[in-house]
Amino acid sequence: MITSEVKATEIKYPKIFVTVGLMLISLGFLFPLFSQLVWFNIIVKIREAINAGDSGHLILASAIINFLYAIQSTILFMGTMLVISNSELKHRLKRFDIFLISLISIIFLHWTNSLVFELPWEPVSTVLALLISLFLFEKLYGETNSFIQVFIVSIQVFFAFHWLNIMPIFSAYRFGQSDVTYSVKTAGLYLHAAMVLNFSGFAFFMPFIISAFITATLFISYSRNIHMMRENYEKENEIRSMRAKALEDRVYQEVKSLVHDLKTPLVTIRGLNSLIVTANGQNKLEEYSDRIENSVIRMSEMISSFLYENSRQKLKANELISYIRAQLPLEDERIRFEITIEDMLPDIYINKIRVARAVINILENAIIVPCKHPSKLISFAVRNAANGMSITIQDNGIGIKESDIERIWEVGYSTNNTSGLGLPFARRIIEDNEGTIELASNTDQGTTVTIFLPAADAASDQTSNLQRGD
Amino acid sequence: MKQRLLRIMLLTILFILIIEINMPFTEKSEAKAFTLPGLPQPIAKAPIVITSAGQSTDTYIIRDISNQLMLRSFFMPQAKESELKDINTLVFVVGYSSLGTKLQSINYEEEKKRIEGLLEKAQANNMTVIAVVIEEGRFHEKKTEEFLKVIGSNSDYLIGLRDSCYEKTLAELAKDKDIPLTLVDEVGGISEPYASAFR
Repeated sequence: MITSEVKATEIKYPKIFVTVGLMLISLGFLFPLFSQLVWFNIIVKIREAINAGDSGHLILASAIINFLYAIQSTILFMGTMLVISNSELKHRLKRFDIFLISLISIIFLHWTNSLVFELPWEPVSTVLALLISLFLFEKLYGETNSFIQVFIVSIQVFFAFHWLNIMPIFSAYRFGQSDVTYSVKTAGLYLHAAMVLNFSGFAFFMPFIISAFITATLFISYSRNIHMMRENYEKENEIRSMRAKALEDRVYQEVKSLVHDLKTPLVTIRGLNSLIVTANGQNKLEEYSDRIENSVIRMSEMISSFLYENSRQKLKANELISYIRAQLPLEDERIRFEITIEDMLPDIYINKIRVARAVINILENAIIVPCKHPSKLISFAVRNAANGMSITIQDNGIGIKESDIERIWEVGYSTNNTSGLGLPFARRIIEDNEGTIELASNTDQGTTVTIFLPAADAASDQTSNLQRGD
Repeated sequence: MKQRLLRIMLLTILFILIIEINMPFTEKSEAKAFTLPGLPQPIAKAPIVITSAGQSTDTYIIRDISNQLMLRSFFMPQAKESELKDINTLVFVVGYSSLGTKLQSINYEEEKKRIEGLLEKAQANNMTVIAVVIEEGRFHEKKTEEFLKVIGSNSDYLIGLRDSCYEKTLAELAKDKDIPLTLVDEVGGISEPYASAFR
């Protein structure tokens, strides 16, 4: 059963379609005038069949009759549906009422046409074909909004049903009672070709009606696929732009953090500056000046590290560790930090501020993760590793489910109602600095994040440019 | 309420339309007409003019039958009175076709006038008139019925199809005017009674 779930979009300029519909109705109504010569030819064919005793002429005559009836019926049908679908009736009436109006209008048009032009029509086959066409129209047009597709399907339906008119077997059911069709059957019966007519009618009816339904189904499927593809494309675009915005926001947060960190050296400078006023002696002045200089250099480093993402410096591991330790909330009594730092750590070649921010992101995750134990324990260990060093951050929180572990690196994915940006951000920074980051977790036991940073000798040789733009 | 009223109105209109469209269809006649299988002795002789009353293609079937029976006949679907000279038998194949009349560029009134003229001439020349109706089925064409009544009343022999929509008319004509009537089961069966009129 074909179902229609997608609403048709509104058509622009309905008045144009109503006008086209009225023109089609006029064309369908005047069709007998345009096709008169073809109708005469059918009479000639029937005569030839009787004279020659050849039922082949009858089949040809039948095909022409059915084609003419099908075209006229289809044009009247399309015209009427164009008018009704684009008129106020569509909005004011229920579907069943519109169906009734369509049915009555088209039957009325056929009937008056036969009276005006004295060209008999086939009420039974026309009405049956009309019912099927209206059904298919409602399903097809509702999905595809395409009159061309409706035309292709409906002409097949009308053509199929009109073939039933030439079958003597259906004469008892009031098929094929018009003048010309009846002459075909009479001639066929006289020529003992009743079986030929029956078989031909069936041979044309079945494939065309099946084809009509298959065509309608294919059109509907195609339209739904296009619609889904369009929706998916729009959704993907939306997700992409949301992710980009989220990352932008994250960067902005990091900038805010950096700006916050800048306050510390600024406070130092300010404090020292006020001391300069009261300083006694050149030695004190020199000391304060050196300290101001160091604060300025620190600020400059921090700004440059952020401005120039790819810039790295060779520095001692302890410098990084000290910078990180300074950010830890060691005074929070609810959290117990176990800090282990090995001796003889190698020099590393990294962007200090950004890597520190990455590690701090991991620590912040460890701090905020819920914990079933009475107190939170976070272990921060820095050790030597082959060709580098490793930073291991372990917590005793609720852990991450195995099914979620693969997804935690996705932007926007979170198991803790957070932004879901910290881990992807940290991973990006670590990998940009030629390091690696791994995560292991057990439910209710905790999570361990291991960051590896290569030693300065093992890292790529890149020139730092801290002073660029100063 | 308004919508309900509208729906009732629409259904009524549809119902009336269906009845109107269905009106030309007649039910099978219950009356059993007693008919002859053929004439016991011939009533007509050649030369024959075969003409159409209504310009349907059925005329060609009678022509074909006539040819098969080797009867000397002239096929004139639009025969006029002046063409009946030295003709002994006039065969009318009754069946109105709107397309057939259009093809010959004549209308119903003209066709009726032609038929009446032929009948007058046939009566004046003491010709035998045979009326043949091949149309079966349920669709009752009023114009065919009218032609049949005009021709049938002046015919010497009526041949038609059993269970057709004109069976009742033929039976009444045969009874009222005391005209021999043969009803056959199928189109091909017309050959025998037709031949019996001549041999």
